[in-house]
Amino acid sequence: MTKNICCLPFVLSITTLLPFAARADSGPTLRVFPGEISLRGQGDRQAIVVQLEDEQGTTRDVTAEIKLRAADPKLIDVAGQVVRPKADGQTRLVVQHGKLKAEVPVSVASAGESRPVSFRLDVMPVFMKYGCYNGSCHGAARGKDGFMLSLFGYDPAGDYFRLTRQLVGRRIDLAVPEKSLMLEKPTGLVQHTGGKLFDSDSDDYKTLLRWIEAGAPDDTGETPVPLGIELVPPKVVFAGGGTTQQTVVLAKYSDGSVRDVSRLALFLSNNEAVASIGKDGVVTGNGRGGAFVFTRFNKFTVGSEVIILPTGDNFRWPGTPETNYVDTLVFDKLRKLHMAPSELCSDEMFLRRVYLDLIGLPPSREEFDQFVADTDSQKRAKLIDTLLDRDEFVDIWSMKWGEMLRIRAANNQPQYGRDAKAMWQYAAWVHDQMVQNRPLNEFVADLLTGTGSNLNSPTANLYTSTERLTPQKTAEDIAQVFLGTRIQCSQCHNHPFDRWTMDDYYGFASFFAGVNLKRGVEGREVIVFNNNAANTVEHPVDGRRMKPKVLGGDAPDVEGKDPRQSLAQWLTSPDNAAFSQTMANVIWSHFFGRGIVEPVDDVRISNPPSNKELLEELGRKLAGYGFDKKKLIRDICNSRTYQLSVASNPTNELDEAYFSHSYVRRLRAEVLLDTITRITGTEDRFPQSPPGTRAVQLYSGSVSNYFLTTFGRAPRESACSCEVNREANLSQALHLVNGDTITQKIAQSRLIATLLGQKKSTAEILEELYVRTLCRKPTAAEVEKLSEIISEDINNPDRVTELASLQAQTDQNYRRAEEQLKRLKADYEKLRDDGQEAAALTNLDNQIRNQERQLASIRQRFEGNATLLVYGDILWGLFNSTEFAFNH
Amino acid sequence: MSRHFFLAASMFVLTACGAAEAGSPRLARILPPGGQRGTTLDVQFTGRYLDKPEEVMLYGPGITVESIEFLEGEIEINGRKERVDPGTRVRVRLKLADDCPLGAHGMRLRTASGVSDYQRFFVGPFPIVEEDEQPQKRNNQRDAAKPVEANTTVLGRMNDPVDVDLYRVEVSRGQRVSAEIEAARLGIERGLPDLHLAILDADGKQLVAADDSAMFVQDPIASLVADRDGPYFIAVRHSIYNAANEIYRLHVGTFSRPTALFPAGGQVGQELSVRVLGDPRGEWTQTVKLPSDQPGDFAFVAVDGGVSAPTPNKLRVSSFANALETEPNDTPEAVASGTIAELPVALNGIIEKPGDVDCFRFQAKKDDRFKVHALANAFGSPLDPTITIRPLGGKPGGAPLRATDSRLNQLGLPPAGGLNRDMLDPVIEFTVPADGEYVLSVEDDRGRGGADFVYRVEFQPETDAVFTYVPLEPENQFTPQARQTINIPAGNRYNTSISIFNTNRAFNGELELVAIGLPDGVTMRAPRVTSAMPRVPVVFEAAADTKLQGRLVEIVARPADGGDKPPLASGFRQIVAMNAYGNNDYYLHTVVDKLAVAVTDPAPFTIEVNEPKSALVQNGEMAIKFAVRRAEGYDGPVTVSMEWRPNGVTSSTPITIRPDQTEGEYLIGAARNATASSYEVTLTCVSGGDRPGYNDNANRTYVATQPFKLTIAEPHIDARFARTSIERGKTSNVVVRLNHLKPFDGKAKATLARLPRGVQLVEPVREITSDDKEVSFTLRATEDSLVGNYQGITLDLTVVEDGQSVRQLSGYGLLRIDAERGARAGTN
Repeated sequence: MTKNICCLPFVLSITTLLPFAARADSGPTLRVFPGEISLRGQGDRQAIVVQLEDEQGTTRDVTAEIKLRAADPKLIDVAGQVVRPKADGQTRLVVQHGKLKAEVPVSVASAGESRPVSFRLDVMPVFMKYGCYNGSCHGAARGKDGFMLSLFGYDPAGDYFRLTRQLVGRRIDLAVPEKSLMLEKPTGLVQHTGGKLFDSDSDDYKTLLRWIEAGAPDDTGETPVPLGIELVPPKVVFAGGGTTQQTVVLAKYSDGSVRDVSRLALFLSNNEAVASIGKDGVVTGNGRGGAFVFTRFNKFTVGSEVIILPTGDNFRWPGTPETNYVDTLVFDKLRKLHMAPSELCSDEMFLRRVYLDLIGLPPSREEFDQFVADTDSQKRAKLIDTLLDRDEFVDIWSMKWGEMLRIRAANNQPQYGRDAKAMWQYAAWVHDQMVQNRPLNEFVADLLTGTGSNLNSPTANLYTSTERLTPQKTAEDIAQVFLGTRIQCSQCHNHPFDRWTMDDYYGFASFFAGVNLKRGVEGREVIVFNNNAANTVEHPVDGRRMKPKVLGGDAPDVEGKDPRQSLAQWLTSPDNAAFSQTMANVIWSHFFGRGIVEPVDDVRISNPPSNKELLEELGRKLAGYGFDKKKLIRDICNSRTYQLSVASNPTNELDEAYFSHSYVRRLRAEVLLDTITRITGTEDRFPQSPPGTRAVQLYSGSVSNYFLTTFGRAPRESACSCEVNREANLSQALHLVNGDTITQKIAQSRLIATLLGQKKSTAEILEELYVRTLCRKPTAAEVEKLSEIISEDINNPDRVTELASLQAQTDQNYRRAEEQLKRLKADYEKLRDDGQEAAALTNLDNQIRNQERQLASIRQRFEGNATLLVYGDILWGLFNSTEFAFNH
Repeated sequence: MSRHFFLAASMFVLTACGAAEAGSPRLARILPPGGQRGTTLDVQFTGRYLDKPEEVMLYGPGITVESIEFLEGEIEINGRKERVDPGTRVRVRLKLADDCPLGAHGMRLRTASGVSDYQRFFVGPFPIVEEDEQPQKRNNQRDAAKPVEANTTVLGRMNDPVDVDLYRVEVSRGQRVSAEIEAARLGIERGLPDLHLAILDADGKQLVAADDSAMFVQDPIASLVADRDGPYFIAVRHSIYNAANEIYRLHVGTFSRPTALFPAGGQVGQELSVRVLGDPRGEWTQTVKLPSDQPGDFAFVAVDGGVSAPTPNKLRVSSFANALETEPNDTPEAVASGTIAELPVALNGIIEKPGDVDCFRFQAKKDDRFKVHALANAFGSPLDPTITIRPLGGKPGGAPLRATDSRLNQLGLPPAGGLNRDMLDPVIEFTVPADGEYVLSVEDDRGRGGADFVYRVEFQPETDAVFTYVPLEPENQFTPQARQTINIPAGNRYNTSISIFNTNRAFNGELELVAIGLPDGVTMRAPRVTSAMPRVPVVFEAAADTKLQGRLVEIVARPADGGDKPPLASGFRQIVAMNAYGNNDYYLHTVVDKLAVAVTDPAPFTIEVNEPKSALVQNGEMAIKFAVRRAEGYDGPVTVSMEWRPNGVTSSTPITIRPDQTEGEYLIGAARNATASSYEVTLTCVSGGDRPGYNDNANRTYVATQPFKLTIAEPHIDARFARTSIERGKTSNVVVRLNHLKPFDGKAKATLARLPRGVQLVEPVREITSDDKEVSFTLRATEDSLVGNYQGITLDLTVVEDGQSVRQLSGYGLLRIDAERGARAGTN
């Protein structure tokens, strides 16, 4: 049974809907969905789906091939794959496929009664199914062609009003129901911008017609509301593309009934290239890989996993050794997908990867030599431990939290308290927490309850990070950063692709209803305080005062208290899987370049994790470690998964989500700049930062430079993880090639001069440059080729002269001296022509000689520099290589 | 121009020698910004237009001025020759008395052209050394730290954003190492020197660091007890490595730097034993004799072992007795009834730990009025108090009263831009609803607490008080002190606005403004103020032979009818904003209680107005004629405006009178709802043209006309229009019925105004008399007119009264323009 939906509020249905599985001792298994059938009322019906699962785990849709029979035909009617009620009672449905047989219990109630058509239960789902509720159609804020419905049906009462009370006699014609615009438009009898949607003989037409014939009544009394839905089968494994699988959607209602709502549900897929799903709920396998298909009904969205394996690949699991649970879970998934993990990466590759990931700097020459020479089998684990204790490790995580918490100075709006000084204190606090390796749950709880002055109570700045402090915006940011959930959509309508409703949204927002700012003792200071009396926000549809209620959970008692205390307690509790998994996912994504859910702050049902078991386990581990992120990072870095080579094999070359090999990732802007700076031994100077500050250590998103901006440093203007841009683009390439960052840094660097001063050979210098930049020794071919160029340049007097001239052209002092010489010579000639005294001429002549000597000495220096220049060009070339700019 | 007018103007004698224009001097800073008491030192006043310095005007005792010298050309500063820009430098020798009060001393420079901005000079107990950091001689490393004696004040400078200044001080084990920075407090011009302070041990380990302090906000303090003999290092840097070139005063030594005193005040004349808090060597007590003259703030200087604290702490002196809290008092039940013997009283306590609540019980009688003021921020306590008053056990008098903050006027402060920390100290204006026992509770707004979270709740009888101030100029972003001094050219006038505010209830009745201590030969004329019209135009006038002089003047408001009314507390209160840091925000707000008034060199021009004989009618306009008379040798433009106008009166933009002009007209208008009454107004005349502002880098001289009467009256006529239609290309008659509200003599000119496009009057002007019941006009609609309804035609009436034209508009007519008969639709 799927666990996809176990976080949905209808856990109760799971036990009742377990599929019935008939398993022979060996051989294929027959799976029948649903596992139990309950029919209520005359019009009820239930379609059956049957799956045959073989020993390899691949499934086949055998629904069309089965024989169905009622144990007691008096009670139910079986036609095709659909069961309908005849009389009340209990019976069984017998399913037969070849030799395999299965039985499903059936209960029938109220078989004689026909339920009146309900607006909410029957009519609205039709609108939903045909997209009438979409923003591009009548769900738009101003409706469409004069007719407005609420977006995704968030306001049933309003929709009923507009249908029945506006354009009386036209939209709904009670006298001649067939002439209602509501029926004529979608059937194309009257021109309809949305086109023809269904025929007048379709079930949906009949539903609407019956409702109008009944007088278009509003629902009275207790209308059963759906508590949750389920898509069956929960898992489909196709062997090869082109095969199909019928699905069925079941909805569980508040009156205890379960209805087959497949006809009314909407279907979609998250990866059409792998699997598509039609309007009728038929899944078709397309290409190799994994995908999820979803269904949406009422306010619920649920999904089923579809895996498509290659046909006849004779896949055999290579038996890759597992270091820890990370590998177990990753490899489990890979095995199911018939993907073999890549080989373990080399020591050099690992060294560079783990340095850049853990501390954001390349290893030094000494560190490289030491590690490569080490023969200890545990040297990788030892190195990870060493790096985890480095100060630079803390800087990386301070930076990442700075991005998530939007630490960005904005002095132009002092009333919101984002002055540079406040942000400085905030960043210092975050850094301090990272130094102490404060458990993430405590760290977050401190932030959530932040109160006081922005200048001397740093955590209060969580509430100064938005342009305007509103409960809504705060709730959105907090859900996004700490729960990885974007609830923004449900501010105006129920989330179309997730479980969040407007009630959830405003319930969550009211945790922040009392948070307010007031001016402090000086202009830059604001004070965050909570008005405990204000703990509700208004629901915009019906004006209800929404009380604080956690997302997908309970409403705590917050009367007279600061509700943020309860929120912090719930949010950071080890039992809150959403928090621990989000934090684990953020950590994971740092080391793999993508999250298990990607993006890390967009967890939703329609964006499922690529390896759910892994994410769950990482979340559990993190919570189990007392939210000590270092421990989780140690697990991740020690896993074979992290240490896999970037080189792929035929089975995993298309993989971008299952971690079967290491992914090539461009270095983040800060790490790239710090790396170049470290290698060249230069220093960057940033405003509002003490000398020696590295780019990773910058406290505010507003402090940046051209290089960092070009390479996508997060400006920290929103809570979105998408702010860090790791795409490669043309301006980056141009800046590396033509910009002044690298050229200047090479020019300022003493690296090559030092190496030359130590009288190193060409090969030694090349090795040094390669190790420092790429963390590997150059190949023999590289050495040969480069040595050739070098000797050509350095041993060729013409070339040296050329290089010296190049320098002379750009050296201002040289040019000035040259001009002066020219002037002196002109003076000399003039004096000579004027017939001046010899003494004066001699004096001038001496001056000319002096000047010439000076120029010659400068030229000599330039010629000496030619060697520097040539090696500088090689360093430049290395910096511009893809191998350098990427972590792999 | 009337003959009478010239007579008036000739009363003023213009002297040619004062023909050069000169405005008020601008004083930007005093360098060095402070000195040691008991010494005499030279300081430089720097700014602009400081020519012809006359006097340093001091706001307090303890400092005497020994000499004033205007510096020009090449001067020697610290052994280096330097050229000074004209008018920017004045050298002043100050003698700081042995008993000179520690702390800030306000002063202004008066020159022959006026009084400068208010700046402060800081007096400390310690000798002063200069940091003297040179590019070759940096003190940014421990081994290059500048050695200073204990109990010294360093005059330092942050040379660049990442400058770190290190000082080395030798102390013995058990002594304190204390440091205090004065930088933000200096209030120098723009920006905010926000510095960070740290004390390091001999090995460079940071022992204590401070960025801010509750006492002095952005100025940090730090203190510790030395655990060994030897050097300690004091490090000063920018808190976030930005800005440059700020100067600071760093006090280093073994002094005690209290963070709070308990109790934080006492009764006048009382010998008060004060617990000194925040000392790393532990709490101690010091006895102080409070002044016996009047309530207010008292500067308490902690002295331990003969060493004085570098700056004082504030104590409040009240006219009533103290009551001190006794824990436990977290709930009313924990407090014994009657612990507070009688009101008024000053309650003193400490919110000792987070969540602490202090309760006090007191008896009160129905209808007694108290102002309950909780002070904490006022004396630098970290507490942000919240106070609640509720009846003991139950609510006979309704809901509890709760206050977290206060308004400026409740604190006796005039309106000012930016923040004022004192506003975080709450005030409850408490009128006792019924006889009985009440509970006052004090807590921190955010539930914090600590050993120095001292507060003092003053429970005082509420008295009415009205204070005067000069309202801020609207364009004061970078010159917050613009036009807050009075600079009257000899033989001329100067105008300003003065406003009043009430500390609690608005005063009911008329008040007159009285200036106490004006310079000899100067008079002040001000209309009466009421709570409905709290701001009035005021004109100062100096006789022609008045000598150059300056005074600090008090402007008080007194009940105009005097006699039986109870005396009203009054005075002058001006907030001086310092350290602008953008957004019209200022870091410092200093209150001065005297208005600086100076008689200056004569101005090179005068202005006289021809007082209008007739009234400005509602919905009407009027031109005020004036004449400018320039002294010989002065031929610049001048600009005339009306700075104060009655409600509902609008005016033209300032009018520039070119050098070749001497007369002008200033157009004013009255809205329909302008209050019909008589007002005293004045015109301001300023040297120069082009819309003078305060940030235009020009030095300007202001003079004023004599105050003159402006009457706003009901209109003469109320006009009613009959609905009219007109066909394009034809003529039509508009009939206007006249309802005479106020008769006029002779004939008035009537015409129609605001006619739609293409509609013309056949006969532009009609004449009417007070007897006419209606007037009609013939309109012609030309081809240009547009078909449709047009609303808004109005009667434009000009009555000539006493030779002066008074114009008014009246009525709101509807005119329908039709297309030519037979025209096709859509040919409009």
